[in-house]
Amino acid sequence: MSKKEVLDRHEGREDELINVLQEIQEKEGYLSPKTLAYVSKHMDIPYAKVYGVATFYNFFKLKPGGKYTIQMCKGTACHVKGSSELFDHLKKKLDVEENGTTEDGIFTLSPVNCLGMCSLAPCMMINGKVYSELDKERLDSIIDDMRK
Amino acid sequence: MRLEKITVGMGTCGIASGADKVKKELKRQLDIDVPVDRVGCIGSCYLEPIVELRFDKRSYFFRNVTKDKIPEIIEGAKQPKRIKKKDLIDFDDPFFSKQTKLVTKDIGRINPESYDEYVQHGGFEGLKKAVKLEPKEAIEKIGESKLRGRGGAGFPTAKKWKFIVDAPSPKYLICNADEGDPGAFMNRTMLESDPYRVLEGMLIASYATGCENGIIYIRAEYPLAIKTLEKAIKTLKKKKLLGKNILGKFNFDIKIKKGAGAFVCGEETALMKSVEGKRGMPQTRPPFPAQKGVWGYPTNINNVGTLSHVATIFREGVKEYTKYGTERSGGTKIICVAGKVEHSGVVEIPFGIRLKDIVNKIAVAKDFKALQAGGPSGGCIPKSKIDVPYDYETIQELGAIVGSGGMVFMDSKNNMVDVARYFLEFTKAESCGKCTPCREGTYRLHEMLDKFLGYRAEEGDIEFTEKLCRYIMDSAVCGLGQTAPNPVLTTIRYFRKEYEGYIIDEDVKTYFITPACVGCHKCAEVCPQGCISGKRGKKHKIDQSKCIECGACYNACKFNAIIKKTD
Repeated sequence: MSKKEVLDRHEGREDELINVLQEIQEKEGYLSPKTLAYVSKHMDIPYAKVYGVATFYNFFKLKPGGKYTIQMCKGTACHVKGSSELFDHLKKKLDVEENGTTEDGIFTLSPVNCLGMCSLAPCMMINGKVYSELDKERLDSIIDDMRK
Repeated sequence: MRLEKITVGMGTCGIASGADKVKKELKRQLDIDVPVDRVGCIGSCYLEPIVELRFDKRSYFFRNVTKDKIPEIIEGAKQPKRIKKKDLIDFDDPFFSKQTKLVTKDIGRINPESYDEYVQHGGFEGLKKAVKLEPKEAIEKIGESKLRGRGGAGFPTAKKWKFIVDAPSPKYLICNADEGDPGAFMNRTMLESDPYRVLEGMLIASYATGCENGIIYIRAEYPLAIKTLEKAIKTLKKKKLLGKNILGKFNFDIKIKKGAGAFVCGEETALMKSVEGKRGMPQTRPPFPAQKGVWGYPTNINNVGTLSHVATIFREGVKEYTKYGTERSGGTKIICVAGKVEHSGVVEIPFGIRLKDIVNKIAVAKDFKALQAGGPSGGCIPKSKIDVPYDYETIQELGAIVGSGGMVFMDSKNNMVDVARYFLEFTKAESCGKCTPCREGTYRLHEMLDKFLGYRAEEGDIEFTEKLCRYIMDSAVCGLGQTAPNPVLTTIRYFRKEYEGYIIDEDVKTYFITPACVGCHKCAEVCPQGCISGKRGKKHKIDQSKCIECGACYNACKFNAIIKKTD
């Protein structure tokens, strides 16, 4: 589905802006300045407002990400069970900053507020799949398997 | 006994534990003709994956199923006498026996995608009873049930409905499924496991309040819940329970709006802005949503939990529902227990249950230190305060809130100052930036906590932090800011000693030993003055009067437990 089709399907209604951006991001992986300008023009919403919405919500990415996006849960249950150490471990292992992408373009590491999987903490989501009850060894093996 | 079907618990938690693999393998190995169905989650996430053998007379629930257990299950399906008790869920365990399952009665028992199963279990009986009453009588019934909002603030639902009932059309009814509160997942469980109950609650609310336009605002992080809801809405349209002239009485339609990850959008006015496709920033009240809500039309917003209680109240009857609960907190509450506990999951308890029963019998928290009730807006309740009834008023007196019902447990290894900072990091990042007290205040509070954790705090900093908390609470625009300091205030109130431990004594010259010390004695061995003392395995101490500030201990410590005072 192209950008135009997404816009047509939502009939350019202003209240559909978030859904439109979500669907375009799903297709293209991120929202480029060009995309935002396109949406602004065709939905007749000022660029500043579109940009404002795109930067307000955690879901939107304004930079291209890696092949896999690792969303490490930062919820309370995960925190008390040591997720911040795991996050630091991943940062070191992948040599990236928060929201950064590895040099080979395979992984993007980003925190997420809570996946609602508190009973299986600590957990993370990679491209929509949840991995739970993590520790360093399990984390390493998951990442190493994906690298292959 | 005749085997009716085999079910596999396939909530997100079940799938993450490997339920889809179990289901696939089960289907592959199964050599008898019996349907294998998907159900939601029965709430005991620590027992996932769960497989049920449903016979006409009774059911057997296998717990923690792995691939190797599958042949045994199939054997059991043929000869139930051979089933071993140790493989089954023990429903006499206090985790189950202490619960009162009214709203969550069917989760994990029915196929969430099956309209017929929902109806067989009494579905839409509540709606039918409700439409026999006049809308105003229906609201009275909710009033009698003493139902209070299950999302956060605990506002009486009937009162909220009365605000909108006489407002002019068009009116909007929004179901708030933006469960952004870390530590809470009851809405996800409800929507994944029993979506029709929530929709029935919406139908009743629509009939009672006259709102013809329904919106479900749900967070995008719950893909399975969204999918389940979409299917259910489609089915209801086919069954003529959505659309025009429902049961010959009223019109109602539902649309799903996906959120995009902003905690503040759980706040009513911010949520409405987000529905309109704008930045989700709270608005000052008045005007209240019931007067001027989404697109300027009167709007009523109820939480997923509240609406599923509405459906249950009408189905079971007010009398049955008010058997449970206390004078001012009626009925039951669905809570989530997680963190350092043996039993984590979703449980439904009557209000008034002793908090210590939740801690010791349901969650089974060993080495228990404190629990955070109500997420980032709530507070920490220490071990010494758990011999109290669980209801809105008591929890509030302790400095926490019932809120969404999320409870995260901490044990002695958790540092409470760090926990407070964790919550501030969250609220700081999630503050929408509209009002100064919240935008700047949460930053400053976070800085203060960093100061403590970095051993840079001074005498008077605790009092200053408390003052700052009060300022933010008094002046922030919305609930997020007004409650953001709660975790800090409660941890200071109950764990002041931990904060004090971060304030360096005045007589410290340059080096001092923190509680991170494991007592390895290395520093004492290298100290040329011999001024470090302490038993092995216990925290050591520097005799400051003899210290010559040489730094030998600092360099020798492998645990970063010796810190250099910075100016």
